[in-house]
Amino acid sequence: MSKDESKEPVVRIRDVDFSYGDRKVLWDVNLTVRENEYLGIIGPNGGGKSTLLKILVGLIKPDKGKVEVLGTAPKSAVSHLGYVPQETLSDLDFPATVLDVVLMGRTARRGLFKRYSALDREKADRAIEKVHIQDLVERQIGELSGGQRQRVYIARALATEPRLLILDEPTAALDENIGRSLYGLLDELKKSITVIMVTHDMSVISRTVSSVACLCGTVFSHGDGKTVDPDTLEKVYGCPIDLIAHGSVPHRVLSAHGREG
Amino acid sequence: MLEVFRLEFMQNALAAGLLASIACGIIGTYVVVKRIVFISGGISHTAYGGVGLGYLLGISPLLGATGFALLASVIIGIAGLRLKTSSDTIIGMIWAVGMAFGILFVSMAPGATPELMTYLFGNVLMVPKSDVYLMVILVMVIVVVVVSLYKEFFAVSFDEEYAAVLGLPVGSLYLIMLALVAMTVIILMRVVGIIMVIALLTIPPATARLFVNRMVPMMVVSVIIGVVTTISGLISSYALNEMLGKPVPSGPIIILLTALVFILSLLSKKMFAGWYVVKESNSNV
Repeated sequence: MSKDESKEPVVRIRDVDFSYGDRKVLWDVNLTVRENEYLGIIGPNGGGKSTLLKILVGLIKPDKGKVEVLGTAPKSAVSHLGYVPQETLSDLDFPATVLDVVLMGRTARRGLFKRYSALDREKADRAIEKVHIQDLVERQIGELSGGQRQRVYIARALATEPRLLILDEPTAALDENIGRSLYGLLDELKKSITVIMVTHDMSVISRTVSSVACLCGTVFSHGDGKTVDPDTLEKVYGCPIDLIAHGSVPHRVLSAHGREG
Repeated sequence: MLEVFRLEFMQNALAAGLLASIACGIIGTYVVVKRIVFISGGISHTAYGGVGLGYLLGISPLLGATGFALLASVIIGIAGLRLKTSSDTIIGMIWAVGMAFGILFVSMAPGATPELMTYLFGNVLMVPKSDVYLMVILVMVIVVVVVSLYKEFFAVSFDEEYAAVLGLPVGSLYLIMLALVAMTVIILMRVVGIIMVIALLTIPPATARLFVNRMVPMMVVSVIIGVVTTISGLISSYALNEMLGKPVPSGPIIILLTALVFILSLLSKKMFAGWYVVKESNSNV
């Protein structure tokens, strides 16, 4: 682990267990994320990735163990937290424009009963520029494509001016080009804030993140992204995996089940 | 025609119609976007139990209805928050139990039960001044709460989970919203009646949504639609009274007019959209 131990921990998870009813989802999870780290969380479906994020943003409480975000309980850290959920708009008819949705990110900073100020508008505008959706501000949210909407959600998270940005599979609904520009944006952001991202996109893991956690019920490996060894991935994904890495060529993870001709 | 508005009952009817339009425009928008139409139906029908209790105890039926509607909103709200399954079943139960109480209480009530039908089917021409005062207070509460919690209600309506991540007290906000629905039900009750409250909560916002795509404009347009249909409904009702020489309830007339406005809006939008497409394809040639 080539991590800068001198930096402040932004997230500290100790011995966390969580289960939905009888189904154990997480056990003995230990994870420390330090300032300006860019952590990619990978793992199979049902491995507890989204559950761990929900614990981090304070949506659910672990059955056991301790979670600290920015030195406090997750619930108290909300005003410094940006969260980008998976694309989940169920009501495409919802009467809201892009600007309305992005402004929502300022709510955590405003406090109850207060209206949005000119400053809030300015911060929202800046977040909108960062993800290049200036042309869409007046559009109704349901009229956008999935990828455009994902960028709106990222802008909403950025409008909070977070110290910690948490993204749950941000590129799942994006085409490759937009995905790349998102990663470029995250590369830019990681200079000033800490980023945690759940993803299935292995090429990103090897190219951009500064560390990787493999999660399958518990954390199997948490090291820098370049040295995730095939053994760990095999353990996590439960099947043999070839990890091809040659210099600047993106890493690829392929299942070795089938045979290629 | 205008001199009829000098009559006191006509002034009360006018005030009741305006107040009802404001409440249904604002709260109806939430009912539609948050998809709590069935919950609102449950709250309004449960209120009949309170109407019956009012007759039984000899107090104002509207006051009894207010109590029952608020109680129903709390039970349905807490059931929705606590139960992991859908709260549909609970709403169905409360809906019927409330009605059952009402029917029982009314049958046990001493003497005649005047105006019973106006609570069920609504007659804005028979609203007494005291009810108008109660409606004013309820509308003021609704407006103040919605203005102060606008951004919170917006976040909760859009995505409850994200609202929770923002640190908002999602459960309490939901309960407050349902309490506002209960108040709106009370306001609408004298105008269109318990059974048809749902129509005035849904049709004006649904019509407004055809033309605007933001929340506040949707509320404003809903209020305007409500004002137009309640006032023209009450004038039609009055005119029919005079013509037929017997009372014609305003409730159903208002609902039918509102439905007509919705259908005409839908058609005009469709036609306009078609015209627009034709024009655009012409310009491409």
